Amino acid sequence: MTFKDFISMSGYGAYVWSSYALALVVVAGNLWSARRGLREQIVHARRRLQINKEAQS
Amino acid sequence: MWLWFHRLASPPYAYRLAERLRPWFFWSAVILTALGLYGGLVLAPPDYQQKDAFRIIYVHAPSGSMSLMIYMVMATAAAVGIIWRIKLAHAVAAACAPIGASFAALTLVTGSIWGKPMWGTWWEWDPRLTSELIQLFLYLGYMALRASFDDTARADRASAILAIVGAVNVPIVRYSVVWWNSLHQAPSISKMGAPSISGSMLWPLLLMIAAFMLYFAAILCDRVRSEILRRERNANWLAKSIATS
Repeated sequence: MTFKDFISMSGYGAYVWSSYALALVVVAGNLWSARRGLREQIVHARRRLQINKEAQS
Repeated sequence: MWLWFHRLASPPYAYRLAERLRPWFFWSAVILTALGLYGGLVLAPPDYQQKDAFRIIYVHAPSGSMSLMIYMVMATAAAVGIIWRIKLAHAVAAACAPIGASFAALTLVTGSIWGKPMWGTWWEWDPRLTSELIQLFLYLGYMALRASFDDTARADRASAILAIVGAVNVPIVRYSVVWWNSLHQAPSISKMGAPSISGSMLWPLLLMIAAFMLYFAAILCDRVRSEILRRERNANWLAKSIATS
């Protein structure tokens, strides 16, 4: 099997590779957005704690 | 067992556990994906009817099984939250929905891409396809319902009922290809009896399913932590867990 055969996927290349690309987008996008959301929440929570501390002192 | 259950239900414990487990889930998923893709794209022989187009199965089937499995996790967490009034369980259910919705959408789109060359159509109102579309709408409905409440506790209770009732669709999707005469092929891996797929094609599929489960676990860890932070406003333990150091 040559590299060209691998890409062409017996003529179904466009279907096969677009499916794999979309799967990559969904999995990576999920990982990324979950990470970003968590960072945001950590920043928010820190700010809240800071405000509370200042209010108490 | 009960002691462990109660410890797990405590937000600080769950928060730290999720933080610690996440890299293990993620990196084992990466390793399994690498092996699964090598097996599925390189080692597995072309199908005698579908040629290389069958390789779409390695992303389509894991995605489809995740769209159902995540729903079961979500509905179970929602039920636990309602029955035992555990807030953390509601947090888990809420964290599941967007992940499940994205996998349901991926299943429909990759299925459509696979259907075009094999069935000659992008879409058909077939039992399997239609029930999977309903599955996607259940996730979206759950998310819309949650978003319509300002009060988290009320959102938890109302959306939990929807999640539990909606679980009836999961076996319908799963067995639609068996119960009705569907255009969709029957399951390749069956719990009863031998799989109708040869070993060299099967093991990469099992690895990809395991990899998708682990990705879900890793994503869920981060999302549950976000939910805990959003809900636990001013608890003392927070100060220690998220202190700038």
